[in-house]
Amino acid sequence: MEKPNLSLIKEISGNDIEFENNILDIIKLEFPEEVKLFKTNFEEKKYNEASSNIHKIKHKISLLGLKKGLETASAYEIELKEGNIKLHPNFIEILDKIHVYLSN
Amino acid sequence: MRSLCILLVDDDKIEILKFKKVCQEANFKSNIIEAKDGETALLLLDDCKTPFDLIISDLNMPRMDGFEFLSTLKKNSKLQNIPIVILSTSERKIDLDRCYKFGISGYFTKPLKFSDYTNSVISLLEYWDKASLSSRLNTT
Repeated sequence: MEKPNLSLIKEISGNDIEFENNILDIIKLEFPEEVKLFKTNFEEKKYNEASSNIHKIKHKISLLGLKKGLETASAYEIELKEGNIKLHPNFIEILDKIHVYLSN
Repeated sequence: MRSLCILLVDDDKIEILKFKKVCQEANFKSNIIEAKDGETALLLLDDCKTPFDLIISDLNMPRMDGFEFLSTLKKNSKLQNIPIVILSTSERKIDLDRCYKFGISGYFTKPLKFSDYTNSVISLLEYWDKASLSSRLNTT
């Protein structure tokens, strides 16, 4: 099973540690807020808004090297707009994985 | 290379950092003004005394998204001639068609691989640097 990692962020940063830390700081700051907003919109069945939230979150999924996670998020972003919530548990699993990674 | 004055419209702070890093590493001397959504961009365009050479905009933004921004911009006679290039993750043909109907000057899909992203941004900036220079030469 794939795990979050910093390889893409390191590729973007080159050897620029400050830049790498800046990106990580933004992710740590924004990710919990974006997830909270997504969950609220989902619970209120505002699926279009929740789909837009996924659009933002999936960029962070991509930056943390979760290729399969990105595929799931991209598919769920489209399906949720049509009211299809089948991928919801899979998406939550990805979010939880990132949450644990960022907490460590 | 001359310095381009660019209005970068994107709510994603990481995207803005990435874009600036590419400019910095390519030694591209540009004046980048940031706007977090279409509404802020329109306010900046109205206020700014120095004309922008280029607008680079995302599509998916809160408050006023890229489409609404394009629609408003193209109706404004003072602003409608500023070239606007879309830099988005969307590969959907419907989005691309919609943007071209508004009269955009280019559409770039943000590549996932950073080296590809760098190449796309550099080619975009080099193109517009030349285009802007020849446009100024033609008007003098």
